[in-house]
Amino acid sequence: MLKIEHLTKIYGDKKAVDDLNIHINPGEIYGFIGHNGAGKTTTLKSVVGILKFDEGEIYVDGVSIKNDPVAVKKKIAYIPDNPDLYDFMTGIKYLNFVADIYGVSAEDRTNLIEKYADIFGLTADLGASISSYSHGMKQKLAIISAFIHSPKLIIMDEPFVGLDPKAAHSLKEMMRQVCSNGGAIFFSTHVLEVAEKLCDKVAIIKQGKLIKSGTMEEVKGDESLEAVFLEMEE
Amino acid sequence: MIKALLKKQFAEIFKSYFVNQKTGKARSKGATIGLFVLFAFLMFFLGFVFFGMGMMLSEFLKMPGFEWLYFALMGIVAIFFGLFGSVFNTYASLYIAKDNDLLLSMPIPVKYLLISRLTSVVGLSLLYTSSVLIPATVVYLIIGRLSVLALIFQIILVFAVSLFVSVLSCLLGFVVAVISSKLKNKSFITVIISVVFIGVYYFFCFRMSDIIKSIFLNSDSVVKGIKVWGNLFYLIGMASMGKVVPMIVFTAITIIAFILCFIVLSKTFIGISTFNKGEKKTVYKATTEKQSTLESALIKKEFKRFTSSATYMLNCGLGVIIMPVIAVIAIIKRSTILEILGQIKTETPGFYKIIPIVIIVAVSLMTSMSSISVPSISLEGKNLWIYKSLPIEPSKILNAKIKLHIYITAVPVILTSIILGFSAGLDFSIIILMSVFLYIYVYFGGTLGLILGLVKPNLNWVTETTPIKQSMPIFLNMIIGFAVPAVIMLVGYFTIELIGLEVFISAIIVVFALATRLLGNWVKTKGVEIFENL
Repeated sequence: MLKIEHLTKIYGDKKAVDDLNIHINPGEIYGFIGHNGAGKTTTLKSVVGILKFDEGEIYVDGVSIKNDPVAVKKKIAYIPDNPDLYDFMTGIKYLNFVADIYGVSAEDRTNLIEKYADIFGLTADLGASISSYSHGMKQKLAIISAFIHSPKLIIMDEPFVGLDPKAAHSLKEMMRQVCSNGGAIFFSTHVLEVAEKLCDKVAIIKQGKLIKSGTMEEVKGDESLEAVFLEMEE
Repeated sequence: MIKALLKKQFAEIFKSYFVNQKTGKARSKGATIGLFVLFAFLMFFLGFVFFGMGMMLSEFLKMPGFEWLYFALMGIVAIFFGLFGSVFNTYASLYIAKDNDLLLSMPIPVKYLLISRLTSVVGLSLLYTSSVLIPATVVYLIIGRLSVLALIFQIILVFAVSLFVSVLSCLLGFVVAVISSKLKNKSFITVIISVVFIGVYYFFCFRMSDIIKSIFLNSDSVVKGIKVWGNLFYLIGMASMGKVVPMIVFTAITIIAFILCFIVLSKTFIGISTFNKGEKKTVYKATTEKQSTLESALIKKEFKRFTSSATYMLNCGLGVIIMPVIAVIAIIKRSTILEILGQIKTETPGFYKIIPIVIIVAVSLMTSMSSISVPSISLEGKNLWIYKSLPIEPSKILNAKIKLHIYITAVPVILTSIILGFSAGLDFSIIILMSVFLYIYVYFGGTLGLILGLVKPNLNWVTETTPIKQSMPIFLNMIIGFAVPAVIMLVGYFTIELIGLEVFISAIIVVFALATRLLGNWVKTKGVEIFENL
């Protein structure tokens, strides 16, 4: 589903991501962990085509993000760490805007908006301006907009930040649903307990370099993920 | 504690003089001094305008028993000018200050917070009122019969009137806060109110001498009116003449009003500082959604961005508002225009021939006041990730921004050129050629504006005013917007005799169509590359 090969991104004279290799198969929830400034967000932004990278390749379903970014973006969805959405729109207008871009039919979008807005308890607020939303509500709206075109691969940067426990639980369910339908999830998190419980595979990044990756068992063995992570950080 | 709060308040006000808002870096000493000199020059210019007004009203200073009327009238101007200038600042610093929550969470007594906030309110009122009252005193020193007591009272009155304006600003600021929290289409209403203000301002500017003449002609009824319903202005007028009782009464009224205002505000500050958070909730009811094409969705988004901001509409779309007004005036005054043109035809036939070029240049200049595409890239700001993560060809995004400029600007431009051409009695074929050129000019302006915005983007702004009003692309667009029509005028003036009007307009149509095509190609290639790397 997603192949990141020898990804390198340089800012000035600093390598933010250094020769990173990650492969994600259909049906996998792949966690991406690392300390602040390790290169997680840079990697995720490169995958979704927001950032241009210096070396390497990224393929989604065999299509290169470098060669055909629009085709890749049609298959994926992205939820950023800080949901800066269009404050001048209402929630429903924003969802319709995203649905229009992906060419989602009127019938499908009506059903999907109703379904996901109900799950997150956001239906009544969809007519309000996004500028009046709390951080959590914006996060919920960003999540709904990501699911509205039934993407194959969802890239999420710290998706649980700002969500209430019910919404966080719903999101986990939705992530599992995507994977059971043959899709995949690649997300970064600092909440190691969540990663440990939710992910099939995990990658740990430090100073731009991948230092450990594989199935949860391969990475942590008998220890907790937190213990492994802290050992590697020392 | 008050010292720390005042330091913070003044640092906030003067931040832009010491720190570059775009880069966040400290300005050089030279740049800071330059900005202060510029500010001083602007204040001097403003004072000079009111000095001129004072000179016009100074006839009253020469009329025994009417001197007070001069000061009363200048007092009215000072109060209204101060109020107009400081009410939105008061609203912003009292009711929607971003650090209200932070400061209220600290162990700071509310009255200290209020003192620091009101200091900036009073300071700004002082700035505005003094720019009217000091020139008024200068005029008095030149023309009036000097009295030391009157001079001392006039100096005290600068502060007293500022305090009075501050009280009114606090009250009106509260009204603005209430209205802002209740209205749905705030930006449109702000635009309408601003346009009305601009209209009234220009109406008074153009008719200033008529108004002053009418005051002189009806001075008896003006005196009667001020004494009845404007007793405060009467007090200002009399106090300015060195009368002790009116001075004491006005100062006492002002101080009592300010103390009352302070008490009320300190009792209700927490409530009103969180006032704007009580917006009426719009409950959404699920309905069948409609699908739009990608192009239509992009245009709708850009349109919504434009109409959501009064600052954007007023600063980048003023030409669109002005043009229909000019067109309506042209229809109403058609007979006068034809009469003037008839005179020009007889007296200066050479100039008469270039009337269509004059119209083209005039409408082009008004078109330059529409700069919708210029800040549109920078205005994406922190939202840029949305466009970049969605499956849209960058060229379509850029095209949507140009198209919005054209859709909003082209219709008033073409209508205005047709109406002006009709009012000037031009041939139909010339009107058509003019309209074709102006449409292409709108296209040219929109594309060039987008390029300027792409080449010098500013995505890290704190307030949207920065890319809309204070950016290099806007400045360059303004310069080009004046330079291009000037070149058209010059070239037209010297070549029409040789090649004829139709050929000249056809030639500039071809030149600008080619230039627009070249700019369009640049947007599709280099422009897309720049956008992808933002």
